[in-house]
Amino acid sequence: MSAAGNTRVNLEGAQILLLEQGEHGLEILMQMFVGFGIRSAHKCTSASDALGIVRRSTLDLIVADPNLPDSDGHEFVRWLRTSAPDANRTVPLVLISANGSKSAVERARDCGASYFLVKPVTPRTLLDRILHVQTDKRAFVICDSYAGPDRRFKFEGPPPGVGPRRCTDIRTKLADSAGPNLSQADIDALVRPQKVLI
Amino acid sequence: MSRSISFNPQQRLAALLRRPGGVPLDKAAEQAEQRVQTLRDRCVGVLDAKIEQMARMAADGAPPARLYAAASEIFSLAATFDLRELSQAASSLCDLLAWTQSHADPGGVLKKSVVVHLDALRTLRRPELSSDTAARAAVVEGLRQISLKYKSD
Repeated sequence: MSAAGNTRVNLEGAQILLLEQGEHGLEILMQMFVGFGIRSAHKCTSASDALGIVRRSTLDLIVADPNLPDSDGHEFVRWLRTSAPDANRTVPLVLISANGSKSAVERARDCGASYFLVKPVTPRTLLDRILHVQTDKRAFVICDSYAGPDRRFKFEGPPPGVGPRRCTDIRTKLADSAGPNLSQADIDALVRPQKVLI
Repeated sequence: MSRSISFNPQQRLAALLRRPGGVPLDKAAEQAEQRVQTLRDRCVGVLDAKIEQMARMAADGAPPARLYAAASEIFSLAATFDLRELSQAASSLCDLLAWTQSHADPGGVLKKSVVVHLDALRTLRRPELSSDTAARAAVVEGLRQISLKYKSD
């Protein structure tokens, strides 16, 4: 997910919400974003304050720590994805947490976060996730049990032994490879007809 | 089978990022890092107060979720400013508190482990230990042995 160093990032004018329990942690995030080029951001230390901002303002990005002392940040994310005003419901949201356990990652994924980062977060890592929004092709999914970005970053087909479930799945059983793969040059030659002297 | 809807929303952020201008990525990251480092003295300076505040919360019987949030804050500050042993000790405390949120503690053993962690955090903050690498490593290793029993996964 790492972008090239000569890529430019233009966050001027972006409306950003930062949600972090401690004022110092919040200030660290704020200084990162000032370094990225933003002029101001909404800063909240509680989910209830964040709810108010989401209801009143149109946001472009949310960065939040789910570990809040008096509420569950994951519930805030679920509320955002299901009940927030339409303008903000699909906004990219980065959850950052000191807890990088498998269960914490799954919880972040399943509440509707777009990305999950483990603290301490470096400015470069945060920037790479923000820039990924430009190329993120994931659909926004709403179903009975989940609302948020498609939780799959890649789709590799159904598990072995399971039949196709979507109209785009390949239904014919593919044979095993009989030889080495074609090189890119060979593939290009097949696609682009060449003049041949006879 | 449940029904689902999927669509591709227009992301305002993507449109903003595609505008001309802005700052090269490496420069933006460097500026951000420099700005964060200007907070070092202030953030490291409050660590002692945060450790004592957490000790008071633990003594008052605060629920594990609140203690976890406090430990997480100490970890975040220590890790951001490269206080390696302190962040390792705080991380160990976070693991312990995460475990206590889903497991009973009838004998109060976990509560005592929390107290041990808090004492370790205070010890690591002592100026006389700041250059004693071996002693600091020993403190962290001791805590690691305790938290290994309680790691969630």
